Amino acid sequence: MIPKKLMNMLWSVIKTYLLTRAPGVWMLRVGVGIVLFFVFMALLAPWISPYDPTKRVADPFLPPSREYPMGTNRIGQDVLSRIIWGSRIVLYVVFLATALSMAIGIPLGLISGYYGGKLDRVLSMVMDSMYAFPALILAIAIAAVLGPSPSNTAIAIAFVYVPTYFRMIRGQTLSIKSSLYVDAARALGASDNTIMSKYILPNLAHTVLVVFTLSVTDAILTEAGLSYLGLSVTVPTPDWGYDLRAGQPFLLDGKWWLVFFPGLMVMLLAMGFALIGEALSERISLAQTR
Amino acid sequence: MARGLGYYILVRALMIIPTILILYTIVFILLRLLPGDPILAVVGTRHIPPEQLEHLRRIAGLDKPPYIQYFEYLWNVFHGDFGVTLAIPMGKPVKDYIFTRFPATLELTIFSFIVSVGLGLLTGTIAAIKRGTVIDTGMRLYSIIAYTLFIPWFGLMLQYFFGLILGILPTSGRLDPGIKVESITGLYVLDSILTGNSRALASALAHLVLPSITLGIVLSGAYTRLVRNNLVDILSMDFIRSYHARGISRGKIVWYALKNAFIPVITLMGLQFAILLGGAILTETTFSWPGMGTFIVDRIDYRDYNSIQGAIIFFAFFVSIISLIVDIIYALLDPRVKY
Repeated sequence: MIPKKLMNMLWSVIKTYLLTRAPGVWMLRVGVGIVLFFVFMALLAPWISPYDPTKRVADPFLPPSREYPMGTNRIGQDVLSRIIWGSRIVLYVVFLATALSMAIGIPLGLISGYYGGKLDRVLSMVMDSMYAFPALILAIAIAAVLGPSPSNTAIAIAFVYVPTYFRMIRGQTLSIKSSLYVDAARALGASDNTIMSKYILPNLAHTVLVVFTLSVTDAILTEAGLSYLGLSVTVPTPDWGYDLRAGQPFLLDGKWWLVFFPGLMVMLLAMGFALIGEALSERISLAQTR
Repeated sequence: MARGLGYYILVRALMIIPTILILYTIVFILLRLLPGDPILAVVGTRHIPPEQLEHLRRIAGLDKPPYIQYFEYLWNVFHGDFGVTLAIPMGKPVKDYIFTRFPATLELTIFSFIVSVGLGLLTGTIAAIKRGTVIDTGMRLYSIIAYTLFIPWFGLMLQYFFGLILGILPTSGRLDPGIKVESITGLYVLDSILTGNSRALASALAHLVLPSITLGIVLSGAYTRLVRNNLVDILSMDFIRSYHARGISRGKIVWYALKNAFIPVITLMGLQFAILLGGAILTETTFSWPGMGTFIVDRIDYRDYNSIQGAIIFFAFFVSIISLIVDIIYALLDPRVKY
């Protein structure tokens, strides 16, 4: 039963968002296309990767050719294979990080906005201070203490994006809290928990979706940044940011492919989510003003 | 008005204190209470005598209970003491590094800031004037692409093109080898102007071009959006229509509208500054720019948490002060701000 319900929901989402003639729908389609491309790349890595990403398969520093479409690196590993496998790391880190920051930020924002009072003031102050501080620098500090591993990177990223969710949810809760239907629910004797979970939370879904796509964009760039600085993975794990850094010393010898391809992937993936976020936020703000 | 503004600034300045305390506390908790002993991390696998470990603990201030460390460090920070380095060279005050490295970061951020605001205003204005056309869509795409550029990648691609293929711009450092500039402020451009050293000025500016374009373009996307949307709103207002009716030229009208669109841009500048500093770390690493970012990254390699903590707390102060300045500018420009 549930899978069918889920399928119907999925279909209705696809229908309302992707199969319309609304202006700007092309952005959404391109964005979804890019994201799906990388998701499948990660899922199918063992089958589509031409070589083992951690093994030496040819001479080092071979420029892109038919056999090695993105060339080989300093050790003679195939760059394309490393990029395909690298998509797993970045997607894993980014989704774990986003799920963690949502799991902390959304309930805190909801409670803080709904109950108000001293707790709200303290939480808001802490979150605002964190929000004002450079996210990357804070993430660097946390990742440096925890040590390099993809899960630790995810924790570091999750930590710095909690305030983003908190602030958004808190603000929305504050405005929804005073609406008539919430008053009505309260008059009918609904408990605080019921009001929060059944009356307020569902109305935040659209906001969460937009903030999600935009924070995933940031998280991708932060993950790449941390791993570029050597704070995410260790040798020989394939990872875009890390591989880019490894190729950097050879760039000005003319070995552009070591830097060009990994960085391009970071940008494409980030752009996929940015396009979705842009299109969704436009659509939702249109729907609200109408 | 003058008294009201003074009062506002005072209240706003006092509000910095809790912000700094919160950030300090977060950083302190993170660096001290997360798993891992900072001393053993520096020492690594080397075997050193216990008395030397004790000595290290003492100079790092780690020999006391955490709550005493908390207040002691805070007290030191308010006196400008950000602790000492724990790795090579050991025992050097972090303050000294901040003193030499921070001006480099500041110079880079100032130039990147100019590039990003300039480009943002330009592209946003073009998009607003050409609203609804292909150019508008193009500018929108520009803002998305700029935002999603990965700084090291973009910087390295610029290095490859302008440094290697064209060979016209330097790709690392702040000055050509052999050129020296007397350090007054630490901002080489300013110092070389002050000392009338035109060779150093040319060299410093040339070294700034690629890093500040890299960081500037990446951050310009957010301005493009904001300027465009504001300008579109303002250009459809009644007072603009009355300018048209009076026959004022289009260029002048856009200029008047821009002035009105500028206030939200200032708010964004405050928020963007934090992102600018984060981006500066990556930009500095990409361009071997000897600033705070490369300092932090170097110290990470040594696992020198004491230095990292000092640098990050310094950043906390700096960010708070910048947000204070932005708020004051905002209050000066927008008479509607309530004191």
